[in-house]
Amino acid sequence: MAEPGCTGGAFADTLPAMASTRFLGIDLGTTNSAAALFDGDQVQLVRTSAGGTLTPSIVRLDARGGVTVGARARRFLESDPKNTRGEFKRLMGTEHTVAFPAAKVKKTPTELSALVLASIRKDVEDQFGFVPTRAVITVPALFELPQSSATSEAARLAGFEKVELLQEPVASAIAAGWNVAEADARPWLVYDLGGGTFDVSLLETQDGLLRVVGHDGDNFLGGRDFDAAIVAHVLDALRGQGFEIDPADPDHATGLRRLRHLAEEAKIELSRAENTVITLPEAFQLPEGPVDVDVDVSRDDLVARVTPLIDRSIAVCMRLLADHGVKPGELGKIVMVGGPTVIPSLRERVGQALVAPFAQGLDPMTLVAQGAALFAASAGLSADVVASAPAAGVRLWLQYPTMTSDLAPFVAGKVLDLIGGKPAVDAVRVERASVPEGAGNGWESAWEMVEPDGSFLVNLDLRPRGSTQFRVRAVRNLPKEDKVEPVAVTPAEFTIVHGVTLQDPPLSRTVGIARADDLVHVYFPRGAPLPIRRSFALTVVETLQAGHATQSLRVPIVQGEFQKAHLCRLVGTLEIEAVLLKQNLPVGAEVEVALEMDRGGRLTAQAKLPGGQVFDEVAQLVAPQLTPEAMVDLASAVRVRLARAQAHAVRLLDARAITAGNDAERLLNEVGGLLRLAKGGDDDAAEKARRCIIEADGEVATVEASAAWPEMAEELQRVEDRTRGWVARYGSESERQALDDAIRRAHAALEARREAEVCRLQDVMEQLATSAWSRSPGAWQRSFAWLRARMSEVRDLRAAEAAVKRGEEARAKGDDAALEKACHELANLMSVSPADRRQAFGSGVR
Amino acid sequence: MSAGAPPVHPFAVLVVTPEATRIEVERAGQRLLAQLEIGAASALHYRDGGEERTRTVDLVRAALTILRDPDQRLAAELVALADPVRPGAPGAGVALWDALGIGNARPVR
Repeated sequence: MAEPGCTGGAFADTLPAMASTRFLGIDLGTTNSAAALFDGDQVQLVRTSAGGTLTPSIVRLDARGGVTVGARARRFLESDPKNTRGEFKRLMGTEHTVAFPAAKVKKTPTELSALVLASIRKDVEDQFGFVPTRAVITVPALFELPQSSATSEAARLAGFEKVELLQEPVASAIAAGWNVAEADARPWLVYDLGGGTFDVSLLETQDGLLRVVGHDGDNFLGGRDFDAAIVAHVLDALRGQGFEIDPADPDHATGLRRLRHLAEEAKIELSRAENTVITLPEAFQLPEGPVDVDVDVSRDDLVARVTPLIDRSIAVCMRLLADHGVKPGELGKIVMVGGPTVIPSLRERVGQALVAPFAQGLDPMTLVAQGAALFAASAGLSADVVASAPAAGVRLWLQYPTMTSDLAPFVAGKVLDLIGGKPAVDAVRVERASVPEGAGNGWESAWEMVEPDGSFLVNLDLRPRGSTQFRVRAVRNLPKEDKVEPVAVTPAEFTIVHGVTLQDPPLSRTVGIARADDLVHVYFPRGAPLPIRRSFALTVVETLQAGHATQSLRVPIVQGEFQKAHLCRLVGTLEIEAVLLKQNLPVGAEVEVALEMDRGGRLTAQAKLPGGQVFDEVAQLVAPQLTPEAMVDLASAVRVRLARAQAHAVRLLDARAITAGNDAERLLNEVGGLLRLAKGGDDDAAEKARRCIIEADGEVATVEASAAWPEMAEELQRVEDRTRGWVARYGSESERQALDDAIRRAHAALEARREAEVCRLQDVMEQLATSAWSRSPGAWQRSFAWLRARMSEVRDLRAAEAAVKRGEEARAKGDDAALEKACHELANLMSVSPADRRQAFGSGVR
Repeated sequence: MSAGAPPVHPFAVLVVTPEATRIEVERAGQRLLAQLEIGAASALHYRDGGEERTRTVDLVRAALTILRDPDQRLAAELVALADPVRPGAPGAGVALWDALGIGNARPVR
């Protein structure tokens, strides 16, 4: 429970010390960053010292250690590219560092992002006269946990005391839906093509409540790829002139960086003009001498190069629509976000494919920041804490939404001061305070009595589409009307804004624990609201001796949609070191593992052992780094599997699998080029290659699964047959109905080739049947006999023998509950496959 | 919510009927969250199937999540029908079935 004085979730706390109504939102972009401030009525963009609304995400460190950020740093991109760096957002959450030779330092992407955030913080101070300590910062929807964690850390380094993270498309949606009277109930799309990532979200707005129906995206698609396409055009032109520039040559890295910067400018220019020229004297040094770049680029050249990229983004949009049963033409509108979306050919192609109008009057470059500021208001995260002068009066603690779509919300309150052990007021009333006192303002609530515990609840009435200020009145002795005594209270006023609001921001990727059998134990499913906390008891698969110097138990935390752990991304590991144990941890012991994620996307993990000892050190959340050579081997292994799986898919004429196979091939084909760039020192290319391989691996798994569909259909039928029997005989009426429903849905999922859903529903069926089975006469006796016959497979013979003894005693007494417990103990002592365990990141639990 | 906890019956948690509109669901949820924040005694418990249960912020948020999603709202009826026979983690069904050797016993027809 939140204590008085703490800001709780989406509610404002009104104690005398906290009265700010300024809310800051920051879009920390790959190419440019922006910020906006919402004061309860209007959203204002934060201006930079140069007078613009965009802060280029570029940092320069000079030989004296001086730091330059933003537009001023950008000027040095051409003249001093080695000490002027940008586009580090895509490296967030990795171990990559960026070297600044003049200053002789290396900075992590987190530290560089912190410098950009600090610059924005200064801009807020200069423009609005206060230093913000709290903000909402946006991240791409498909950012992984290490990347989100790095963003929060960057904010902390920049001086922010508290930040919440919000997905960029959600921020855009809030800004786009904020002041529009929504009569259109059709779903709508946010198409967010930023510098480094592509996000698409499907949303609906009903009754002022914004709901994210689904997300999709491509972590490797952004404006930077459009720039790279123009660079490729230039390199092809140079090749035609007889100059071969090798992207893998470190000597060409600087020239290529300068060229990318010019390519970006050319891309922007071609939105307005039909032709442009890229000119860069002595761009490269070849053995035969310096090479000048002087290459024409037409809009048609650009269109030819970027059309495949645009089509990739459209394919992602179509996939999202198909996943949610929406057809092109059924959308109400498309909101375009991000600089590259102003490219005319992109708009034309996307509009034609999705058959929907574009939302008008929205700035694609700052929409995300505006939405973040609005979300900060609905989350009650004011940009600063203002100490106001202590006021006289009985103290109240009020809880109310700072922004809501409900025109009749509640304010809940508690009287903090007591007289004679009772609340110091008997009743409260709230009235609109927007007009001078006594003038009459059209609305006041009824008198609400204060409960014995001091709490009260008042129903309010808001003015639509704006802010409403309220005044609180309180009295004593209300039942005795002749002795009613008005009482001053503090705070006496509060403000609520009416506007579109968002339910809790959803988690974009499933988070779970990798089990030793290579299955994922899901904790937070995709779409779960934040914050969220879950705890499950897991069993240990190997004994840990207390005090042992080298033994440890790993609890790997993974993120992803696959049931198999090794196909998901490892995002952290909770490690239980034997040397720190107070007592042995035997195989089969239960460990309570809790995961918690806050609205900032920060993940904490805790393991509670038998005996009460607690471990909560999570190994650094950093995406693993692989050498280019290791990635070549990995990619080759994936190719071999792909070839085998594709043969099956073609034989079965499985369209979905064939598409997945094509996607895998495309990704693997990209890896070759990326690895060449990586060898040339391009860290971004190395990271992209790593992710391409992982995504390709996932696509190959989909293709492989297709070969298993006939078997999956047979397995489903087997499960149906055996579960129907048990539930029919021993299940309750509700279990029978639930089983019928699960079977019907499982067959529909099988028909639609939704593997994860089929597996999930089979699991539900088996849970229902297990429960029914457990009521059958002799159930636990049968199970006990079967487990006892497998004693040769146990990992801890002594523990197993003890469990058998307990089981036999229970059986002799007819104690089914104790016998069931013994069966579970024996089951937990059975071995797991070492190969499965290795694949599951060495997990020591299940 | 830890392993072994009963499934969330959102209508009971929020004290709304299955016919409640979205706004009514939101209003009920936000009211309860505010009351729980200040520790109002009247919000701490609710009745479900004749039993008194403790209401927490997590439970209210979980109930709101279920009722905000159209598919989950329909499934809330199914959750209310099915008994919490063996509440457990995803995958528990498969794991139990195999681990306890149920699959090795002939199904009763």
